[in-house]
Amino acid sequence: MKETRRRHVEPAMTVAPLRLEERGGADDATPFELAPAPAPVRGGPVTDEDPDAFIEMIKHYDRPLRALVYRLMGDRDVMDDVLQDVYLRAFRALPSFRGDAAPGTWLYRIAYNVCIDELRRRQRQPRVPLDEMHDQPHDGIDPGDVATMRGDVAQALGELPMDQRAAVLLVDAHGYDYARAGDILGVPPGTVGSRVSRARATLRLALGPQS
Amino acid sequence: MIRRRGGDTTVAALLRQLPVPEHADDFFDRLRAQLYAESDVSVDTAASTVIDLSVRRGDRRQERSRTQRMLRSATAPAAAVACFVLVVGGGLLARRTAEERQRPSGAAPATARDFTAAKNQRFVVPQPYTPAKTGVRVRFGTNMPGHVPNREVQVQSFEGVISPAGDYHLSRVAPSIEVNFSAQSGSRTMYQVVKGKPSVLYQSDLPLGPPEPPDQANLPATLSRDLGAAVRAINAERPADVKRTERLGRPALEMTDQGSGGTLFQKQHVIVDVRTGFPLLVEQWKADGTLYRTLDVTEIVDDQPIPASMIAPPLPTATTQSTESKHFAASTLADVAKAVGYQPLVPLSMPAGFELARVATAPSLDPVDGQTNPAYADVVALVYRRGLDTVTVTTRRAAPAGALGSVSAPGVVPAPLATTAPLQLKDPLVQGTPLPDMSQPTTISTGALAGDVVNVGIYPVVWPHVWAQHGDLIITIAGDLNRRELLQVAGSLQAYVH
Repeated sequence: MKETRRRHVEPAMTVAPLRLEERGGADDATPFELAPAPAPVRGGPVTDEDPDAFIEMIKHYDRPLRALVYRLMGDRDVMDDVLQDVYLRAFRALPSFRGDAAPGTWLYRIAYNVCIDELRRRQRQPRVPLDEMHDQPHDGIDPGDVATMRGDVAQALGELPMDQRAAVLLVDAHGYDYARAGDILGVPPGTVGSRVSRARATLRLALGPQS
Repeated sequence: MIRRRGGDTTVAALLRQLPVPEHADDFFDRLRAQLYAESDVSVDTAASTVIDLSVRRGDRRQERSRTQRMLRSATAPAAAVACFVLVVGGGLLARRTAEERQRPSGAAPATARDFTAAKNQRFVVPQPYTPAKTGVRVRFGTNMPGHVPNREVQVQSFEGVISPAGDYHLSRVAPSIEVNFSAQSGSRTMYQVVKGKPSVLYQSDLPLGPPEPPDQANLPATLSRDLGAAVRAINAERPADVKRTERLGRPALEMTDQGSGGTLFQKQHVIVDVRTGFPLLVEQWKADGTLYRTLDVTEIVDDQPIPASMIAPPLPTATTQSTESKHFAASTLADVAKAVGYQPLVPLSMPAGFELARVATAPSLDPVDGQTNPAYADVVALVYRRGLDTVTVTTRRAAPAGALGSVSAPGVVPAPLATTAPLQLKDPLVQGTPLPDMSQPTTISTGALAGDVVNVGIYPVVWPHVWAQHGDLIITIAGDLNRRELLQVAGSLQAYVH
């Protein structure tokens, strides 16, 4: 095992920048993958031999992954546990990662798979703790319209089936198109579309007739 | 790309605004330990659960250096073309040259001396009120607007104290919330009992005001001060639409409005305190006639000094503490150009009495809605104060569409748009909300924006404001100004050269 991994270690390098045209144009771009990543630590590469560089790299993607995993798992402690596993798996997989997918997509896919594994292990559908969603200090203090609607949509989101929740988060909150969301979820784009449609319909209901 | 309209846009915007929890404090320490343990598996003999990082990291680095030197020398040419895409280098998107980025196109720069001289040339627009200068104490009841069918309107009681410097303390009686805000440092401390646990959230580097979302601004959003400023501005230009009245023994402005609430509410009735600009009564109804929001001030005092102990009282002890930065770092006019890479546009002329109170910059901001306006970068915000009155002037770059989204990493600066072609922008003050864009175009004839069409928004749901696109910059001026004042300030903007 050890020898196998070392044989597959790619040489150190920084990579040709992602460009809009390479990803199908601005309309096809995911929000954060087109944002410049921070410079690599010490100007060096990201390999499975440099945990610090790897951590610096994943910090660029950490917030969107937290956003997704928390909404899928519904608990902050579980989110942390899942993301520890996600990053560990990604670190192990570095030698075999050849850039066929964008790094963000790759990490999303790992994260989704870990969430599925964890949910299967727990044998239950999670529910986002509603009181927590409403009572977080920075939300609870704001009785404005948007804050309330956020609470409503968070509640409705937490009650969606897992597949719909993941689809609508990837497409509507994270900006993926159906094709790439399908890559992450392991389903055809059309399936993503139908899941998103059902999810949106449910969420619109939660916001009331005005929305 | 998915096109969304109407309710889907609202849903998407709300999904992007959902809070994202932080990791536990030791998250990355634990991860680092795991990764080093994992890394050891391939170098040493067995994984260890307890790692002395200080010793073993050094050993590993020596080993790595040898390995990497060997790999680099053997495969460097291939490395240059291979696509092991894990690090996206800086400068990956088309950037303008440094010279091009430095100066907003068409702007004639003014020096610091010009701005100093201009301080004594403030213009005066007659006001129907004398701005309050002693701070305000207020008690009021308001509700959390309901969107879920059959949700009851529950009024909660608040008390607030706001100083003329902009500091405030706000408390909700039950369930208990205590908020201290410091205008000088741009920080806020919020105490609340969450799931039975007393919690404190420290927020730093808060935005200075609109167009950033109201829950991040420098006034308690609960008091709807923006609505008060709007009614005062409407009164200045269309006095027939506003009725002079009295409430709580104080001179007040009263107006009824239909249609400006977008999909939030159909009709509203507002009474605004003339001296302080705070609404004394707000009632908003949905299309079906049910109450959407209510705000009822029961006591307001503005002619007595506010002791410091009332502005920042000690908060109860909390068992849970968390911190959050909103990324608006304090700066000075002399330093902002270095921070953002261009000369900011600064007003040479402000209404009499307004003084520059705070300057801040933010490297990148999530777009408010993400579906219409691009993400923002290199934001410069200036807030001017005249007692309780404020004006916020911001300049920001439009980042490439989709470059940030709500998932941007703090501190990541996107490339600016490499085009000066007009963007299809929405009003930055209402984008991402169900409120309509009712701003009206007007051409500016002086200053850096000479020849530009700016949009003036005076309607009773948002701060009175002007917004415009100038090259790849987006300009906003918002606050306690009427149309004439807004246009005069907009026409006095100049690129600032220190």
